[in-house]
Amino acid sequence: MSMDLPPIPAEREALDRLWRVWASVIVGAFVLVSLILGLIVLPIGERRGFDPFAAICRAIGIPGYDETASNVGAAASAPASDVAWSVDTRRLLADARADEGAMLAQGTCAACHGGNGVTVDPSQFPSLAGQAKAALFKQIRDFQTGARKSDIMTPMAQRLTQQQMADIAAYYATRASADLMVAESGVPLEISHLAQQGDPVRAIASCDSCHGSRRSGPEEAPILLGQSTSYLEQQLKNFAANARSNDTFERMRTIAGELTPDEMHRLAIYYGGMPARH
Amino acid sequence: MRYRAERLILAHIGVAFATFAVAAVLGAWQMTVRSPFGAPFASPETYFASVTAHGTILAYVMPTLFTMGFGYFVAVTALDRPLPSLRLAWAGFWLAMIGIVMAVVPIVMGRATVLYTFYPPLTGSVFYYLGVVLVVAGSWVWVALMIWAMAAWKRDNPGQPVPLAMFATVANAILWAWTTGGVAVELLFQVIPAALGWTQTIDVGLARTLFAWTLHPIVYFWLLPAYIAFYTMAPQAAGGRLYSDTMGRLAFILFLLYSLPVGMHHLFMDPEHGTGFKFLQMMLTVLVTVPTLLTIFTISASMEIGGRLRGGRGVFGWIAALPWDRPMVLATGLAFILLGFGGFGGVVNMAYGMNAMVHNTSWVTAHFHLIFGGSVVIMYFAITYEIWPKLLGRQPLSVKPIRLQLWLWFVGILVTTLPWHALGLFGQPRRVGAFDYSNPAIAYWAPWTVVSTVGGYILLAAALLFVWNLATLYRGSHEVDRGMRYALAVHPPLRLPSALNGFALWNWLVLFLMVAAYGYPIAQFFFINEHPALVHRVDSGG
Repeated sequence: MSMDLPPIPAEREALDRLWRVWASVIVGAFVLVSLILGLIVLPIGERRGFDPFAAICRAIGIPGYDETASNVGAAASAPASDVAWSVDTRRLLADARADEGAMLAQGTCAACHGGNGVTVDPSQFPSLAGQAKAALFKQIRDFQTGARKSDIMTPMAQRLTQQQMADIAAYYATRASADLMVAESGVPLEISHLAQQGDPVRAIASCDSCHGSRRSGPEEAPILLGQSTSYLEQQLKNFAANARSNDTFERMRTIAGELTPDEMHRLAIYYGGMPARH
Repeated sequence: MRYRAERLILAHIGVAFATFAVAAVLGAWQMTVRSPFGAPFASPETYFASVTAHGTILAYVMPTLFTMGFGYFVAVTALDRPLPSLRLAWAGFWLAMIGIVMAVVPIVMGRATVLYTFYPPLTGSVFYYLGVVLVVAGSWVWVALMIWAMAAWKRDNPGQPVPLAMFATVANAILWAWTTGGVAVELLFQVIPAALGWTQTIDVGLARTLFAWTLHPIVYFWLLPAYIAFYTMAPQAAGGRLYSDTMGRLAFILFLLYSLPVGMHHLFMDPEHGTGFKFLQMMLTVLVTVPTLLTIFTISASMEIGGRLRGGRGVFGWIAALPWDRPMVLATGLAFILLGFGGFGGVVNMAYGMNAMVHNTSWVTAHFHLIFGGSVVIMYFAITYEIWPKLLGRQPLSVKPIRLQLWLWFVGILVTTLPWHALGLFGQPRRVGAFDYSNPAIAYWAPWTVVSTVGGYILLAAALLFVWNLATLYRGSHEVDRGMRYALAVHPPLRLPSALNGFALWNWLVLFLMVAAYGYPIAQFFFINEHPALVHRVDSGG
């Protein structure tokens, strides 16, 4: 805001300089003292030995200087799955070609999962029609790596490239699924409550928070509605018994471990679904 | 009022309070959803869309338009000259209007349910973000006009002290220009490209840091009109004089300096920063208490002058002698009480250790409702009761409903927020709409929530009564005196050092503080820490 002012008297200018100097000194000194405290004194005080450089690195978050961080991870367990929802994976799925997938599916998958994704034996094989693309892709890849074990699926998946797996996933995702709704009337109130609200006391998140029709949970959470009761129940039992362990962060093993056999059965009925009203 | 800005000011403040009434209805409904009663139309989708609308209106629309309107009022009355450009001011207003419509429509359609703090990687309709940008752009026009108005006045009155009300308004305008930098960069370079589908990842750590840059000083931008009223209107209404003009200038300068480099106290529990700069910003946050304490001292002293001039005796006798029937005096007293409670809570939030206990609990929501909804909005009411008659040229029919409204608001805020604070200490999380009160672990929250909900309805009643009080003014008798007189200081300043009459020095110091506080924390994202997260769209279903 410089402007044409009449000449400033000398004593005014001296006063202004005084303000400039002292305001800057006070503000600067406060920042300096705070930085010395925050970057050197406090980080050193937490540990033995005088090493200002390490203290500063710790205080500003440079990796490798944090004692606690270097102690963990030495014996990290193998990840549950090597599928990462990176940009590359998402691009792979976004660009996947359903028509290519259809060709592959007719040759192998269709024998059990049906040409249009409707299973030939609901008790053994899940239906794939209308399933989430990301969920299908992750399961095929997990069969391929052995993260999810199956004597039938692993040899099938091992022949496929990443692109082919994405194409198959894309194909089944586009198939129309049966018009169903959850079987709310077939289960007690506690079960639909469990599915919709969860049970905080047992640290069980609501099933719908990831598997619901308008879910916002993890990318790979599959749609449950319409699978057979026996298939769903078996998967919950497998998770609970650690027989299936390709769930990222052990989410499903943790939850299934808290469920009673009766709850597993009834949740499976609930998500098995029934024909939607018209 | 001689400078034909009445319609401009009425339009700003009118729209501010029209949206405020909508937000008050939404707020009461949200309280009901969270209570054991349950509410009609309640679903996760409607609840969070409503929270987004409530927050967007009360964070970006209402205070911004109110402050703009009040700023224009101060500029024409305190400087006693027309605005540099009425046409530009209207352009800013219409820019904001277009922005409001653009932001609200996607919210109502459920395509921008990201809450007003955006929370990337959540990403909604691009129109929502563009709408918010337009509201901010409209306010930048106001910033330019305020600076221009003061500069022009200084050119024509060389060496004269700028009236305190205008000095403080320009302090707020400059504060706002600095404040909006962070969110503008976040929206333009991170969120909007993601919303347009140009990028598939978003660095959440950087986005949160940029938002924190805005998120704290925005609160002071909301607060400063209240402080302007404390210094320049309340002593006048109490029949006293401002105890110290210099103290007022210092307080506003300190707000400009120390509300900006402190936003990282919103990130104490975030992993993307080390402890060093969190500590620095905590120390700077402590300094924000200084201008508040200066203000409480100065205004109490100013009120004491008024009380003693009216015949008050003894240590506390002057308090009883104050004209509490006048809305401005009553509101100032009530605002001070709310500021006391809220300030105490704020000191808890600011302390690194205690912050860990209240982080992400209802305590925080209760805190900002108490400070902003309480101390600040009650002063917005008082300011409006003071200036609306002058703008219309009509007197209120009666001050009784005005006093009733202020009391209702005060009681409503306390009844709403005190149990809400307690719920936070019990561990109730914020940003959660549905609680299972049949669950024994949290069943004891229910009565506290019920009390808080009752408070929400008292607030709704007070908000509607406020709108009613403004509406009845249109039937009031003609006001003879339309001049605005601000409080005189005991020792009116004759000559001031440049530092107390302009902002050049302080802008340099703000720049220094911002570089010191945010330079490394922001720069680190470009050379060591990367936190890319996949964009998560809320507007495409599934």
